[in-house]
Amino acid sequence: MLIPDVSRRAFLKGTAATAALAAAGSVSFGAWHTQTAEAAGSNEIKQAPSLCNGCSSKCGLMANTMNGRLWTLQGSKMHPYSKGKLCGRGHGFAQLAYSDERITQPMKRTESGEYEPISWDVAYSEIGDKVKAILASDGPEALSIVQDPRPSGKYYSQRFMNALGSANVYTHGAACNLSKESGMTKTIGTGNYSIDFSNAKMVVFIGRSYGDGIRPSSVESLSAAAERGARIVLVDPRLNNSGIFATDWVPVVPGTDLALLLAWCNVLVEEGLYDKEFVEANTVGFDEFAAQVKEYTPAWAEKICGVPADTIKELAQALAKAAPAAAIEPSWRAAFGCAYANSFDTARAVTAVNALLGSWNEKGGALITSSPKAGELDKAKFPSVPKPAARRAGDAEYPLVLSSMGTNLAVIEAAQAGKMKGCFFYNSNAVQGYSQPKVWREALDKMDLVVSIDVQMSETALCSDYVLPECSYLERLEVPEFLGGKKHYVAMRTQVLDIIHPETKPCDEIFAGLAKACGVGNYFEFTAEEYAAAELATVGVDLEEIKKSGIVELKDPNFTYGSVAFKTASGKFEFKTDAVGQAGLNAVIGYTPRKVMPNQDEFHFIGGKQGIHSHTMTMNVEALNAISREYDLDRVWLNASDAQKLGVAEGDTVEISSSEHTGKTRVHVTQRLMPGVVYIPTHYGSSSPYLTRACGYGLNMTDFVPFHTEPAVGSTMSQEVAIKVRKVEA
Amino acid sequence: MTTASEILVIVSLIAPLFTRLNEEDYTSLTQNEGSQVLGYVPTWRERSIMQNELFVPGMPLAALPVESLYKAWSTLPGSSYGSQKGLYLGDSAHHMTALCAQLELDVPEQFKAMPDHLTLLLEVFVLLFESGNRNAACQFASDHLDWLEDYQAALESRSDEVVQASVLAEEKRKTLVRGIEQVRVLVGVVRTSVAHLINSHEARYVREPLATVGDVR
Repeated sequence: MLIPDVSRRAFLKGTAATAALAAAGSVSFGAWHTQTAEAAGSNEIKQAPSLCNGCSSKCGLMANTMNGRLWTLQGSKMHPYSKGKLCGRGHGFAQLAYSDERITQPMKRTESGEYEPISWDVAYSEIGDKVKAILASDGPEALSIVQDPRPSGKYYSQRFMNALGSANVYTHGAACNLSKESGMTKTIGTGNYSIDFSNAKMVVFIGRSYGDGIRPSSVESLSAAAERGARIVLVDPRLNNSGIFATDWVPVVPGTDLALLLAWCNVLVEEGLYDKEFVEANTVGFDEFAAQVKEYTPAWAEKICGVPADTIKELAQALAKAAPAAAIEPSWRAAFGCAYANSFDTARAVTAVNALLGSWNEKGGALITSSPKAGELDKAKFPSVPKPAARRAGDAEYPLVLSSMGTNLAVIEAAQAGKMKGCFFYNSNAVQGYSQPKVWREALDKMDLVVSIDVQMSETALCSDYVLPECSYLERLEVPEFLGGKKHYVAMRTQVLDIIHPETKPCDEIFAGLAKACGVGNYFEFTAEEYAAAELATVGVDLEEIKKSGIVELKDPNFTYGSVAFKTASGKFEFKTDAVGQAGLNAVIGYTPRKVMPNQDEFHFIGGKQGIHSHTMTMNVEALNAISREYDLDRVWLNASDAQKLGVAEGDTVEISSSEHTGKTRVHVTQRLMPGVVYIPTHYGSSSPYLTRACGYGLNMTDFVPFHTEPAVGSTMSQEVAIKVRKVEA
Repeated sequence: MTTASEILVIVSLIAPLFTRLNEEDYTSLTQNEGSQVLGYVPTWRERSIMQNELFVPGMPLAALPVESLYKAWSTLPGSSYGSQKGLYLGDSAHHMTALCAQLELDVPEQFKAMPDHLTLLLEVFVLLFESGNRNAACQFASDHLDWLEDYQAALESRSDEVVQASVLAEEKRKTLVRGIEQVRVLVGVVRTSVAHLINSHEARYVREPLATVGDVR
């Protein structure tokens, strides 16, 4: 068969003279490999700083590249969260930059529900047209954005949505720490505080586990405190992985920590063990609180929370003895970030115990510190965006919601009412991770426009009309991140790798492109680097300096022990807050039961983190997924005595069912969980076929929980559900 | 009987079919005089459906013919990620980048994340062979075309997934299965062609006809 010499399509261009090809010496891979391995001096080794994106801690890291390729990572020694170390997620998640399952170009959902690649021009143009149509028909109040904050993302998300005239900017907080921060803001004037571990004599953790939701510096602090002989108490239905540092494990009925905390308050007040001087000088509403707390005796609490009255009393007395170098740790998500109908009140009660101990800003106690911020920028270069006219959706219905977070569940409620027509998601997998997925899907289906900006096709991306591919965090510079504490810092994500997939972009460019298409591009006529340089200049930091180190220490805030300022309405610690009463809750810190209590034949359902995973984000990373599979980390936990009653042995398959969902999984039988409780790690059960390693692996907790919202606050009440468990016969 | 030159032409015609093409390029490739060697030629609509699923990174059925994805990322000392598979820009990609620079070839922007894409690998192989540098061509094939059996296995796996994908409309499922099979057969032709060429040191007539792509139905 003779084949004619036809013209061929070639992609490689260049001079490629026949002579060069003919004379090409060694083309051997082996020779190249040896030369590269041995030529230590001629390989291009670089180091550049960034902030890890494995979770929202954003620990500082130094990335080492060889010939432009990511080679190794180290924790930044100077960064207060990493202190020279990175956790497993930090090391594993970085390889997402090279993953075969990243989205690499804009995608549009077709009428049949599948996705097809489109160009950026088409994406911007079509999204811009749809946004303008929504603005014309329903106004800016019909648009929203939900984002899990990252340095650039939180700035650009807000700027973009406000530029469109909408105040509907939400974080993921309703499914994370909204209740906790909202509650604490009412009592101490801020949503968070830290524990002075280096001087603490006694620390109580309510559900939070540093050994699971790892931040390296936290683990180091806890470890050092334990080594020094501090009493470390874990109040948790499960003996979590911080147990190796603990002196006490206090199993508690899920959702009843509030009863325990109020019983401690009862003992401290009734036995006169509280810091009278501190209370007199620094609090309001104590008399009403003390009167109310009389009924919250240890015996009363035991019936609710399951902790023996003697234990409750002993712990309260021990806290008093160790005070002021004793405190309740603030937690994050865990037991009262968003879990129950009483989470807001639980957060207030946590701070009340610390107030009674007089431990606020004392050595070894609970520290409220300050945070730095950038100065004013040149308005000509970085014009202010006008404040949106209408109030954010959900703020009226949830008057106690923290203003910096909002409740993203208001997007669902507004969509159900036909008022929310468009939603953007940045770095957010709301559909899978925040609340009942079916309800999210139905709500988004009602909208005219849903856009996701992400690196992988998450469940939320799969509900979107357009999916815009961001480059990985290692491929982008972001605006500065200011860090507060006893010392102040500014840190930055710098670009470690050249953009790998040419059609991916950093979010600042994506938002600028969207803004232009939507007619508000005039607010985005600067690069992230220009903005970063301007912000850094206001605090006396040079951009080039921070590009090398990743972090710079700022002016000493002169933190002083023994001096505390509560930025509340009264300027003092509030045992009573009128605004809380006006919102329909108890103005005085007091007891509220959780919403759902399992029946005799049902179980409590609690979730928690694993040290190598972050929510739904990491399960598709090959190395981290492999660890899960190697150690069967997807299994739910069941107490040994419960297992025996059900006839279940280690590794057996069980069926878990709730009012919303039924699913099967294997079980881990353990003494590390109190009876009547099932624990599920909350990283599994992906339903996205685009995430082939994660899809169908394990169960997803949110599938089991009904859609509901915490009164006045708007959190997701992520653990307000009762489940049934039965053995699945082989 | 097919000469080495003709085998190289076949490989050259097949090479671009492993990447996403626009309609104009696809039509030009498949409707010219020599394209009868390709056997069954999907219509542009069928091709479009197939390549949007198979050749777009991040799609659930994606099976990019990129060498790095089928080998350990790096065997150079000191990498934290060396043993991982399924990652772009592994050692093979960096070798290709170095090689293209040596041969004064520019890798197009669309292949920036995958200079070791099969389309480019075949182009380099053909260029080396046609220039007369058979040693280099054989070495190149030995280094960079040794993963194609794994790729065919990945394609078979995708085909099975498509068959079981009840969410897909019947017609689309059939189109995808045919499209994936065509790609699998093309890989087979490439493997056979390359094997024939590197097994002979001198250009000579091949005794047996090559398996054709016309087996795809």
